Amino acid sequence: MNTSFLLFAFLNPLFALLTAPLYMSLIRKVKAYSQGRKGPRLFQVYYDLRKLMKKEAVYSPTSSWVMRFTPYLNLSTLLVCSLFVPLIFVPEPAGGLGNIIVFLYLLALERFFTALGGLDAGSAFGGMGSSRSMSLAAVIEPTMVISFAALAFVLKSLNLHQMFALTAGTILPISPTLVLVSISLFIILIVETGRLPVDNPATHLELTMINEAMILEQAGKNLALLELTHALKQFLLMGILINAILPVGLSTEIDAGKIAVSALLFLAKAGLLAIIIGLFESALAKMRLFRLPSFYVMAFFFSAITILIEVFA
Amino acid sequence: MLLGPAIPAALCILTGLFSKQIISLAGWRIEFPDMLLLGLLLGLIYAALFLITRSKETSPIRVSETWGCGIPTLAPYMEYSSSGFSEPLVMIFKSIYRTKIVHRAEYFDRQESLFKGGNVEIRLVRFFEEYLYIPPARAIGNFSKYVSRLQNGKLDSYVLYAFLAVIVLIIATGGLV
Repeated sequence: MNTSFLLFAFLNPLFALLTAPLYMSLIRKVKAYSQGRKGPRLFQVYYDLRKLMKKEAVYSPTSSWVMRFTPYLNLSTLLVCSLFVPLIFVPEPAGGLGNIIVFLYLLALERFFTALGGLDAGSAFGGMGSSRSMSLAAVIEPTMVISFAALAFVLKSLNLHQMFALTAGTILPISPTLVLVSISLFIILIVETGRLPVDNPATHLELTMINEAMILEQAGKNLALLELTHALKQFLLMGILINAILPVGLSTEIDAGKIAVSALLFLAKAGLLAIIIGLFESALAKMRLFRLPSFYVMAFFFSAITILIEVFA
Repeated sequence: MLLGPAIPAALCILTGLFSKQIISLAGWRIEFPDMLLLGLLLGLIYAALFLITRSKETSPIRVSETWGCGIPTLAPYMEYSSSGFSEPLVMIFKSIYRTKIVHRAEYFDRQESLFKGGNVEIRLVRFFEEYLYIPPARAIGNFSKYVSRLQNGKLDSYVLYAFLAVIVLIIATGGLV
Protein backbone atom coordinates (compact mmCIF):
# COMPACT_ATOMS: atom_id res chain seq x y z
CA MET A 1 0.00 0.00 0.00
CA ASN A 2 1.33 3.41 -0.93
CA THR A 3 0.19 6.92 -0.06
CA SER A 4 -1.48 7.38 -3.42
CA PHE A 5 -3.61 4.31 -2.83
CA LEU A 6 -4.45 5.25 0.74
CA LEU A 7 -5.59 8.68 -0.41
CA PHE A 8 -7.63 7.01 -3.12
CA ALA A 9 -9.15 4.55 -0.64
CA PHE A 10 -10.32 7.51 1.41
CA LEU A 11 -11.38 9.93 -1.33
CA ASN A 12 -13.08 7.65 -3.83
CA PRO A 13 -15.70 6.01 -1.56
CA LEU A 14 -16.37 9.33 0.14
CA PHE A 15 -16.90 11.12 -3.16
CA ALA A 16 -19.13 8.30 -4.42
CA LEU A 17 -21.15 8.14 -1.21
CA LEU A 18 -21.72 11.89 -1.07
CA THR A 19 -22.62 12.50 -4.70
CA ALA A 20 -24.38 9.28 -5.72
CA PRO A 21 -27.87 10.25 -4.41
CA LEU A 22 -27.71 13.51 -6.36
CA TYR A 23 -27.99 11.63 -9.64
CA MET A 24 -31.00 9.65 -8.49
CA SER A 25 -32.67 13.03 -7.96
CA LEU A 26 -31.42 14.42 -11.25
CA ILE A 27 -32.86 11.52 -13.24
CA ARG A 28 -36.21 11.95 -11.46
CA LYS A 29 -36.11 15.66 -12.23
CA VAL A 30 -35.40 15.06 -15.93
CA LYS A 31 -38.23 12.54 -16.09
CA ALA A 32 -40.58 14.99 -14.37
CA TYR A 33 -39.68 17.78 -16.81
CA SER A 34 -40.21 15.53 -19.79
CA GLN A 35 -43.68 14.71 -18.44
CA GLY A 36 -44.47 18.39 -17.97
CA ARG A 37 -44.16 18.28 -14.17
CA LYS A 38 -41.85 20.26 -11.98
CA GLY A 39 -40.54 17.27 -10.05
CA PRO A 40 -38.92 17.05 -6.64
CA ARG A 41 -36.08 19.26 -5.49
CA LEU A 42 -32.59 18.29 -6.58
CA PHE A 43 -31.61 17.37 -3.03
CA GLN A 44 -34.83 15.52 -2.26
CA VAL A 45 -33.11 12.11 -2.12
CA TYR A 46 -30.76 13.43 0.59
CA TYR A 47 -33.73 14.70 2.63
CA ASP A 48 -35.47 11.36 2.20
CA LEU A 49 -32.38 9.47 3.29
CA ARG A 50 -31.99 11.67 6.36
CA LYS A 51 -35.63 11.17 7.26
CA LEU A 52 -35.38 7.40 6.84
CA MET A 53 -32.20 7.25 8.91
CA LYS A 54 -34.10 8.76 11.85
CA LYS A 55 -36.96 6.30 11.59
CA GLU A 56 -37.25 3.04 13.44
CA ALA A 57 -36.68 -0.25 11.66
CA VAL A 58 -39.74 -2.50 11.46
CA TYR A 59 -39.23 -6.24 11.18
CA SER A 60 -41.70 -8.96 10.49
CA PRO A 61 -42.01 -11.69 13.16
CA THR A 62 -41.41 -14.24 10.41
CA SER A 63 -38.15 -12.64 9.25
CA SER A 64 -34.72 -13.94 10.18
CA TRP A 65 -31.22 -12.50 10.49
CA VAL A 66 -31.05 -12.15 6.69
CA MET A 67 -33.40 -9.17 6.84
CA ARG A 68 -31.19 -7.41 9.40
CA PHE A 69 -27.93 -8.41 7.77
CA THR A 70 -28.73 -7.53 4.14
CA PRO A 71 -28.78 -3.70 4.23
CA TYR A 72 -25.43 -3.48 6.01
CA LEU A 73 -23.80 -6.13 3.83
CA ASN A 74 -25.09 -4.55 0.62
CA LEU A 75 -23.80 -1.10 1.46
CA SER A 76 -20.43 -2.51 2.61
CA THR A 77 -20.15 -4.51 -0.62
CA LEU A 78 -20.81 -1.45 -2.71
CA LEU A 79 -18.32 0.57 -0.64
CA VAL A 80 -15.71 -2.10 -1.38
CA CYS A 81 -16.77 -1.90 -5.03
CA SER A 82 -16.12 1.84 -4.95
CA LEU A 83 -12.44 1.00 -4.37
CA PHE A 84 -12.48 -0.77 -7.73
CA VAL A 85 -13.69 2.11 -9.89
CA PRO A 86 -11.45 5.18 -9.92
CA LEU A 87 -13.80 8.12 -10.35
CA ILE A 88 -11.69 11.21 -9.99
CA PHE A 89 -8.11 10.01 -9.88
CA VAL A 90 -6.28 6.82 -10.71
CA PRO A 91 -3.94 5.55 -7.99
CA GLU A 92 -0.97 3.25 -8.35
CA PRO A 93 -2.36 -0.31 -8.31
CA ALA A 94 -2.27 -2.20 -5.00
CA GLY A 95 -3.42 -5.51 -3.61
CA GLY A 96 -5.22 -6.67 -6.75
CA LEU A 97 -8.07 -4.24 -6.07
CA GLY A 98 -9.70 -3.19 -9.31
CA ASN A 99 -10.03 -6.65 -10.80
CA ILE A 100 -13.05 -6.51 -13.03
CA ILE A 101 -14.15 -10.10 -12.39
CA VAL A 102 -14.12 -9.57 -8.63
CA PHE A 103 -16.07 -6.37 -9.18
CA LEU A 104 -18.74 -8.22 -11.15
CA TYR A 105 -19.09 -10.88 -8.48
CA LEU A 106 -19.29 -8.32 -5.70
CA LEU A 107 -22.26 -6.87 -7.56
CA ALA A 108 -23.66 -10.41 -7.81
CA LEU A 109 -23.24 -10.82 -4.03
CA GLU A 110 -25.24 -7.66 -3.48
CA ARG A 111 -27.96 -8.87 -5.85
CA PHE A 112 -28.06 -12.28 -4.17
CA PHE A 113 -28.54 -10.84 -0.71
CA THR A 114 -31.17 -8.37 -1.91
CA ALA A 115 -33.08 -11.33 -3.33
CA LEU A 116 -32.70 -13.29 -0.09
CA GLY A 117 -33.90 -10.25 1.83
CA GLY A 118 -36.94 -10.11 -0.44
CA LEU A 119 -37.80 -13.72 0.33
CA ASP A 120 -37.09 -13.45 4.03
CA ALA A 121 -40.25 -11.78 5.29
CA GLY A 122 -42.38 -14.42 3.57
CA SER A 123 -44.63 -12.08 1.62
CA ALA A 124 -45.68 -13.12 -1.86
CA PHE A 125 -44.69 -9.69 -3.12
CA GLY A 126 -41.06 -9.90 -2.06
CA GLY A 127 -40.82 -13.43 -3.40
CA MET A 128 -42.07 -12.27 -6.76
CA GLY A 129 -39.46 -9.52 -6.91
CA SER A 130 -36.68 -11.91 -5.92
CA SER A 131 -37.80 -14.50 -8.43
CA ARG A 132 -37.86 -11.97 -11.27
CA SER A 133 -34.58 -10.41 -10.25
CA MET A 134 -32.78 -13.76 -10.06
CA SER A 135 -34.21 -14.90 -13.39
CA LEU A 136 -33.07 -11.73 -15.09
CA ALA A 137 -29.69 -12.01 -13.37
CA ALA A 138 -29.25 -15.47 -14.87
CA VAL A 139 -29.74 -13.94 -18.31
CA ILE A 140 -27.83 -10.70 -17.84
CA GLU A 141 -24.78 -12.32 -16.24
CA PRO A 142 -23.32 -13.82 -19.46
CA THR A 143 -23.97 -10.50 -21.16
CA MET A 144 -22.18 -8.63 -18.39
CA VAL A 145 -19.23 -10.98 -18.53
CA ILE A 146 -18.97 -10.57 -22.31
CA SER A 147 -19.31 -6.78 -22.10
CA PHE A 148 -16.64 -6.43 -19.45
CA ALA A 149 -14.47 -8.90 -21.37
CA ALA A 150 -14.85 -6.63 -24.40
CA LEU A 151 -13.83 -3.65 -22.28
CA ALA A 152 -10.83 -5.62 -21.00
CA PHE A 153 -9.94 -6.59 -24.57
CA VAL A 154 -10.01 -2.99 -25.81
CA LEU A 155 -8.16 -1.53 -22.82
CA LYS A 156 -5.80 -4.52 -22.55
CA SER A 157 -6.15 -5.16 -18.85
CA LEU A 158 -8.40 -6.94 -16.37
CA ASN A 159 -7.83 -4.26 -13.80
CA LEU A 160 -10.08 -1.21 -13.84
CA HIS A 161 -7.31 0.95 -12.36
CA GLN A 162 -4.94 0.03 -15.18
CA MET A 163 -7.70 0.52 -17.75
CA PHE A 164 -8.40 4.03 -16.58
CA ALA A 165 -4.71 4.82 -16.28
CA LEU A 166 -4.62 4.07 -20.01
CA THR A 167 -7.64 6.17 -20.90
CA ALA A 168 -6.78 9.08 -18.57
CA GLY A 169 -5.50 12.16 -20.32
CA THR A 170 -7.19 11.47 -23.63
CA ILE A 171 -10.06 13.55 -24.90
CA LEU A 172 -11.63 11.18 -27.40
CA PRO A 173 -12.12 7.47 -26.72
CA ILE A 174 -8.81 5.71 -27.36
CA SER A 175 -10.38 3.21 -29.72
CA PRO A 176 -13.56 3.46 -31.82
CA THR A 177 -14.63 0.06 -30.51
CA LEU A 178 -15.07 1.69 -27.11
CA VAL A 179 -18.16 3.38 -28.54
CA LEU A 180 -19.62 -0.08 -29.20
CA VAL A 181 -18.71 -1.30 -25.71
CA SER A 182 -20.25 1.80 -24.20
CA ILE A 183 -23.62 0.88 -25.74
CA SER A 184 -23.40 -2.47 -23.94
CA LEU A 185 -22.32 -0.77 -20.73
CA PHE A 186 -25.23 1.63 -20.99
CA ILE A 187 -27.67 -1.28 -21.30
CA ILE A 188 -26.04 -2.98 -18.31
CA LEU A 189 -26.34 0.26 -16.34
CA ILE A 190 -30.06 0.37 -17.14
CA VAL A 191 -30.59 -3.28 -16.24
CA GLU A 192 -28.50 -3.35 -13.08
CA THR A 193 -30.08 -0.24 -11.62
CA GLY A 194 -33.59 -1.42 -12.43
CA ARG A 195 -34.62 1.37 -14.76
CA LEU A 196 -37.08 1.44 -17.64
CA PRO A 197 -37.60 -0.58 -19.84
CA VAL A 198 -36.51 -3.33 -17.43
CA ASP A 199 -38.00 -2.20 -14.16
CA ASN A 200 -39.84 0.90 -13.12
CA PRO A 201 -38.30 2.53 -10.03
CA ALA A 202 -41.16 4.97 -9.63
CA THR A 203 -44.01 2.55 -9.16
CA HIS A 204 -45.46 0.20 -6.63
CA LEU A 205 -47.55 -1.75 -9.08
CA GLU A 206 -47.30 -5.49 -8.81
CA LEU A 207 -46.94 -6.01 -12.53
CA THR A 208 -43.96 -3.78 -13.05
CA MET A 209 -41.92 -4.19 -9.92
CA ILE A 210 -38.66 -6.00 -9.51
CA ASN A 211 -36.29 -4.10 -7.27
CA GLU A 212 -38.94 -2.20 -5.33
CA ALA A 213 -40.74 -5.46 -4.54
CA MET A 214 -37.63 -6.94 -2.97
CA ILE A 215 -37.14 -4.02 -0.61
CA LEU A 216 -40.81 -3.51 0.17
CA GLU A 217 -40.54 -5.10 3.61
CA GLN A 218 -37.58 -2.97 4.62
CA ALA A 219 -38.17 0.14 6.66
CA GLY A 220 -36.40 2.97 8.42
CA LYS A 221 -32.65 3.05 8.40
CA ASN A 222 -32.45 -0.32 6.67
CA LEU A 223 -34.38 1.09 3.76
CA ALA A 224 -32.11 4.14 3.77
CA LEU A 225 -29.04 1.89 3.54
CA LEU A 226 -30.59 -0.05 0.67
CA GLU A 227 -31.52 3.14 -1.19
CA LEU A 228 -28.00 4.40 -0.72
CA THR A 229 -26.66 1.09 -2.04
CA HIS A 230 -28.83 1.44 -5.10
CA ALA A 231 -27.62 4.99 -5.73
CA LEU A 232 -24.02 3.94 -5.23
CA LYS A 233 -24.34 1.04 -7.66
CA GLN A 234 -25.78 3.35 -10.29
CA PHE A 235 -23.05 5.90 -9.69
CA LEU A 236 -20.22 3.35 -9.98
CA LEU A 237 -21.58 1.87 -13.20
CA MET A 238 -21.96 5.41 -14.53
CA GLY A 239 -18.35 6.00 -13.48
CA ILE A 240 -17.12 3.02 -15.49
CA LEU A 241 -19.00 4.18 -18.56
CA ILE A 242 -17.81 7.77 -18.24
CA ASN A 243 -14.17 6.99 -17.55
CA ALA A 244 -14.04 4.47 -20.38
CA ILE A 245 -15.47 6.66 -23.07
CA LEU A 246 -15.02 10.27 -21.94
CA PRO A 247 -12.11 10.37 -19.52
CA VAL A 248 -11.32 14.09 -20.03
CA GLY A 249 -9.66 15.48 -16.94
CA LEU A 250 -9.26 12.18 -15.07
CA SER A 251 -6.21 12.79 -12.89
CA THR A 252 -3.39 10.31 -12.46
CA GLU A 253 -1.36 12.38 -9.99
CA ILE A 254 -1.92 13.46 -6.42
CA ASP A 255 -2.42 17.12 -6.91
CA ALA A 256 -5.18 18.98 -5.11
CA GLY A 257 -5.88 21.28 -8.06
CA LYS A 258 -6.01 18.51 -10.61
CA ILE A 259 -8.18 16.31 -8.43
CA ALA A 260 -10.60 19.17 -7.84
CA VAL A 261 -10.84 19.88 -11.58
CA SER A 262 -11.27 16.17 -12.22
CA ALA A 263 -14.05 15.94 -9.62
CA LEU A 264 -15.87 18.93 -11.08
CA LEU A 265 -15.57 17.56 -14.61
CA PHE A 266 -16.75 14.16 -13.43
CA LEU A 267 -19.81 15.71 -11.77
CA ALA A 268 -20.64 17.52 -15.02
CA LYS A 269 -20.16 14.40 -17.14
CA ALA A 270 -22.23 12.30 -14.74
CA GLY A 271 -24.90 15.02 -14.87
CA LEU A 272 -24.97 14.75 -18.65
CA LEU A 273 -25.21 10.96 -18.47
CA ALA A 274 -28.00 11.21 -15.88
CA ILE A 275 -29.92 13.52 -18.22
CA ILE A 276 -29.47 11.01 -21.04
CA ILE A 277 -30.71 8.19 -18.78
CA GLY A 278 -33.70 10.31 -17.75
CA LEU A 279 -34.60 11.07 -21.37
CA PHE A 280 -34.05 7.42 -22.33
CA GLU A 281 -36.41 6.35 -19.57
CA SER A 282 -39.02 8.90 -20.56
CA ALA A 283 -38.95 7.74 -24.17
CA LEU A 284 -39.50 4.06 -23.44
CA ALA A 285 -42.32 2.00 -22.05
CA LYS A 286 -41.81 -0.92 -19.70
CA MET A 287 -41.02 -4.09 -21.61
CA ARG A 288 -42.75 -7.38 -20.91
CA LEU A 289 -40.71 -9.55 -18.58
CA PHE A 290 -40.24 -12.33 -21.10
CA ARG A 291 -39.25 -9.89 -23.84
CA LEU A 292 -36.33 -8.61 -21.79
CA PRO A 293 -33.77 -11.22 -22.89
CA SER A 294 -33.98 -9.77 -26.41
CA PHE A 295 -33.05 -6.37 -24.96
CA TYR A 296 -30.00 -7.94 -23.33
CA VAL A 297 -29.05 -9.64 -26.57
CA MET A 298 -28.39 -6.14 -27.95
CA ALA A 299 -25.70 -5.58 -25.32
CA PHE A 300 -24.35 -9.05 -25.98
CA PHE A 301 -24.23 -8.37 -29.72
CA PHE A 302 -22.28 -5.10 -29.44
CA SER A 303 -19.77 -6.65 -27.04
CA ALA A 304 -19.32 -9.74 -29.20
CA ILE A 305 -18.71 -7.52 -32.24
CA THR A 306 -16.14 -5.53 -30.26
CA ILE A 307 -14.28 -8.69 -29.30
CA LEU A 308 -14.34 -9.91 -32.92
CA ILE A 309 -13.02 -6.58 -34.18
CA GLU A 310 -10.31 -6.49 -31.52
CA VAL A 311 -9.23 -10.06 -32.29
CA PHE A 312 -9.15 -9.76 -36.06
CA ALA A 313 -8.17 -6.12 -36.59
CA MET B 1 -30.12 -31.99 8.25
CA LEU B 2 -28.56 -28.68 7.37
CA LEU B 3 -25.08 -29.93 8.15
CA GLY B 4 -24.73 -31.71 4.80
CA PRO B 5 -25.10 -28.69 2.55
CA ALA B 6 -23.38 -26.49 5.16
CA ILE B 7 -20.06 -28.33 4.74
CA PRO B 8 -19.61 -27.65 0.99
CA ALA B 9 -20.96 -24.11 1.49
CA ALA B 10 -18.38 -23.43 4.20
CA LEU B 11 -15.69 -24.97 2.02
CA CYS B 12 -16.72 -22.69 -0.85
CA ILE B 13 -16.37 -19.61 1.34
CA LEU B 14 -13.06 -20.73 2.83
CA THR B 15 -11.45 -21.73 -0.47
CA GLY B 16 -12.72 -18.49 -1.94
CA LEU B 17 -11.30 -16.33 0.84
CA PHE B 18 -7.97 -18.16 0.96
CA SER B 19 -7.71 -18.71 -2.81
CA LYS B 20 -4.52 -16.71 -3.19
CA GLN B 21 -2.85 -18.51 -0.29
CA ILE B 22 -3.95 -21.92 -1.59
CA ILE B 23 -2.66 -21.14 -5.07
CA SER B 24 0.71 -19.98 -3.76
CA LEU B 25 0.91 -23.06 -1.49
CA ALA B 26 0.28 -25.25 -4.52
CA GLY B 27 3.28 -23.56 -6.12
CA TRP B 28 1.48 -21.91 -9.01
CA ARG B 29 2.46 -18.43 -9.97
CA ILE B 30 -0.74 -16.78 -11.14
CA GLU B 31 -1.54 -13.14 -10.69
CA PHE B 32 -4.60 -13.30 -8.52
CA PRO B 33 -6.49 -10.73 -6.47
CA ASP B 34 -6.14 -11.25 -2.74
CA MET B 35 -9.62 -12.29 -1.64
CA LEU B 36 -8.61 -12.44 2.01
CA LEU B 37 -7.75 -8.74 1.96
CA LEU B 38 -11.06 -8.07 0.28
CA GLY B 39 -12.93 -10.16 2.82
CA LEU B 40 -11.26 -8.35 5.69
CA LEU B 41 -12.07 -5.01 4.09
CA LEU B 42 -15.70 -6.04 3.69
CA GLY B 43 -15.82 -7.15 7.33
CA LEU B 44 -14.26 -3.92 8.56
CA ILE B 45 -16.60 -1.70 6.56
CA TYR B 46 -19.55 -3.80 7.75
CA ALA B 47 -18.52 -3.37 11.37
CA ALA B 48 -17.96 0.36 10.93
CA LEU B 49 -21.35 0.85 9.27
CA PHE B 50 -23.04 -1.17 11.97
CA LEU B 51 -21.42 0.83 14.75
CA ILE B 52 -22.17 4.18 13.11
CA THR B 53 -25.86 3.43 12.58
CA ARG B 54 -26.24 1.80 16.00
CA SER B 55 -24.69 4.76 17.78
CA LYS B 56 -27.37 6.99 16.27
CA GLU B 57 -30.14 4.70 17.39
CA THR B 58 -33.01 6.89 18.54
CA SER B 59 -36.05 4.67 18.57
CA PRO B 60 -36.36 0.97 19.38
CA ILE B 61 -36.89 -1.71 16.75
CA ARG B 62 -40.53 -2.49 16.10
CA VAL B 63 -41.90 -5.89 15.19
CA SER B 64 -44.93 -5.93 12.94
CA GLU B 65 -46.71 -8.40 10.68
CA THR B 66 -45.60 -8.85 7.08
CA TRP B 67 -47.95 -7.15 4.67
CA GLY B 68 -50.24 -9.88 3.33
CA CYS B 69 -51.50 -8.13 0.19
CA GLY B 70 -54.77 -7.32 1.96
CA ILE B 71 -55.29 -10.64 3.69
CA PRO B 72 -55.21 -10.08 7.46
CA THR B 73 -53.37 -13.20 8.55
CA LEU B 74 -50.47 -14.46 6.56
CA ALA B 75 -50.31 -18.23 6.19
CA PRO B 76 -47.29 -20.25 5.13
CA TYR B 77 -48.96 -21.36 1.89
CA MET B 78 -49.01 -17.75 0.70
CA GLU B 79 -45.25 -17.69 0.57
CA TYR B 80 -43.53 -17.89 -2.77
CA SER B 81 -43.03 -21.55 -3.61
CA SER B 82 -39.94 -22.98 -5.24
CA SER B 83 -41.74 -23.71 -8.49
CA GLY B 84 -43.12 -20.19 -8.47
CA PHE B 85 -39.64 -18.82 -7.87
CA SER B 86 -38.14 -20.63 -10.83
CA GLU B 87 -41.11 -20.05 -13.16
CA PRO B 88 -39.67 -17.01 -15.04
CA LEU B 89 -36.42 -18.89 -15.67
CA VAL B 90 -38.30 -21.91 -16.88
CA MET B 91 -40.22 -19.67 -19.27
CA ILE B 92 -37.15 -17.79 -20.51
CA PHE B 93 -35.23 -21.00 -21.20
CA LYS B 94 -38.28 -22.70 -22.66
CA SER B 95 -36.34 -24.33 -25.46
CA ILE B 96 -33.87 -26.00 -23.08
CA TYR B 97 -36.36 -27.14 -20.46
CA ARG B 98 -39.04 -27.91 -23.08
CA THR B 99 -41.58 -26.24 -20.83
CA LYS B 100 -45.19 -27.30 -21.29
CA ILE B 101 -47.99 -25.58 -19.45
CA VAL B 102 -51.21 -27.54 -19.18
CA HIS B 103 -54.42 -25.83 -18.10
CA ARG B 104 -57.43 -27.88 -17.22
CA ALA B 105 -60.63 -26.22 -16.14
CA GLU B 106 -64.11 -27.50 -15.59
CA TYR B 107 -67.20 -25.36 -15.54
CA PHE B 108 -70.72 -25.87 -14.27
CA ASP B 109 -72.30 -24.30 -17.33
CA ARG B 110 -71.76 -24.44 -21.06
CA GLN B 111 -70.84 -20.74 -21.34
CA GLU B 112 -67.81 -21.47 -19.19
CA SER B 113 -68.51 -18.79 -16.66
CA LEU B 114 -69.11 -20.76 -13.45
CA PHE B 115 -65.85 -22.28 -12.44
CA LYS B 116 -66.07 -25.76 -10.94
CA GLY B 117 -62.46 -26.74 -10.56
CA GLY B 118 -59.30 -27.34 -12.44
CA ASN B 119 -55.57 -27.52 -12.33
CA VAL B 120 -52.55 -26.04 -13.98
CA GLU B 121 -49.33 -27.95 -14.51
CA ILE B 122 -45.90 -26.93 -15.60
CA ARG B 123 -44.05 -29.84 -17.10
CA LEU B 124 -40.32 -29.70 -17.61
CA VAL B 125 -37.82 -31.94 -19.20
CA ARG B 126 -36.42 -34.37 -16.61
CA PHE B 127 -33.12 -32.58 -16.85
CA PHE B 128 -30.69 -35.05 -15.29
CA GLU B 129 -32.33 -38.08 -16.81
CA GLU B 130 -32.64 -36.72 -20.31
CA TYR B 131 -29.37 -34.85 -20.57
CA LEU B 132 -27.09 -36.80 -18.25
CA TYR B 133 -28.17 -40.42 -17.84
CA ILE B 134 -30.07 -41.33 -20.97
CA PRO B 135 -27.49 -40.29 -23.64
CA PRO B 136 -24.64 -42.48 -22.24
CA ALA B 137 -27.12 -45.30 -21.58
CA ARG B 138 -28.31 -45.09 -25.16
CA ALA B 139 -24.70 -45.02 -26.44
CA ILE B 140 -23.80 -48.12 -24.41
CA GLY B 141 -26.95 -49.83 -25.65
CA ASN B 142 -26.07 -49.12 -29.28
CA PHE B 143 -22.51 -50.30 -28.77
CA SER B 144 -23.62 -53.55 -27.14
CA LYS B 145 -26.10 -54.13 -29.98
CA TYR B 146 -23.19 -53.80 -32.40
CA VAL B 147 -21.05 -56.19 -30.35
CA SER B 148 -23.86 -58.72 -30.14
CA ARG B 149 -24.16 -58.59 -33.92
CA LEU B 150 -20.51 -59.65 -34.11
CA GLN B 151 -21.11 -62.53 -31.70
CA ASN B 152 -23.81 -64.15 -33.76
CA GLY B 153 -23.05 -67.78 -32.84
CA LYS B 154 -21.96 -68.84 -36.32
CA LEU B 155 -18.72 -70.79 -36.40
CA ASP B 156 -17.72 -69.64 -39.91
CA SER B 157 -17.81 -65.95 -38.95
CA TYR B 158 -15.63 -66.68 -35.86
CA VAL B 159 -13.12 -68.40 -38.16
CA LEU B 160 -13.23 -65.29 -40.38
CA TYR B 161 -12.48 -63.03 -37.36
CA ALA B 162 -9.58 -65.25 -36.29
CA PHE B 163 -8.21 -65.22 -39.82
CA LEU B 164 -8.53 -61.40 -40.12
CA ALA B 165 -6.96 -60.93 -36.67
CA VAL B 166 -3.96 -63.07 -37.66
CA ILE B 167 -3.47 -61.04 -40.86
CA VAL B 168 -3.69 -57.74 -38.95
CA LEU B 169 -1.19 -59.06 -36.37
CA ILE B 170 1.24 -60.14 -39.09
CA ILE B 171 1.06 -56.73 -40.77
CA ALA B 172 1.37 -54.91 -37.45
CA THR B 173 4.44 -56.85 -36.35
CA GLY B 174 6.17 -56.11 -39.64
CA GLY B 175 5.46 -59.14 -41.81
CA LEU B 176 6.96 -62.60 -41.71
CA VAL B 177 10.56 -61.52 -41.38
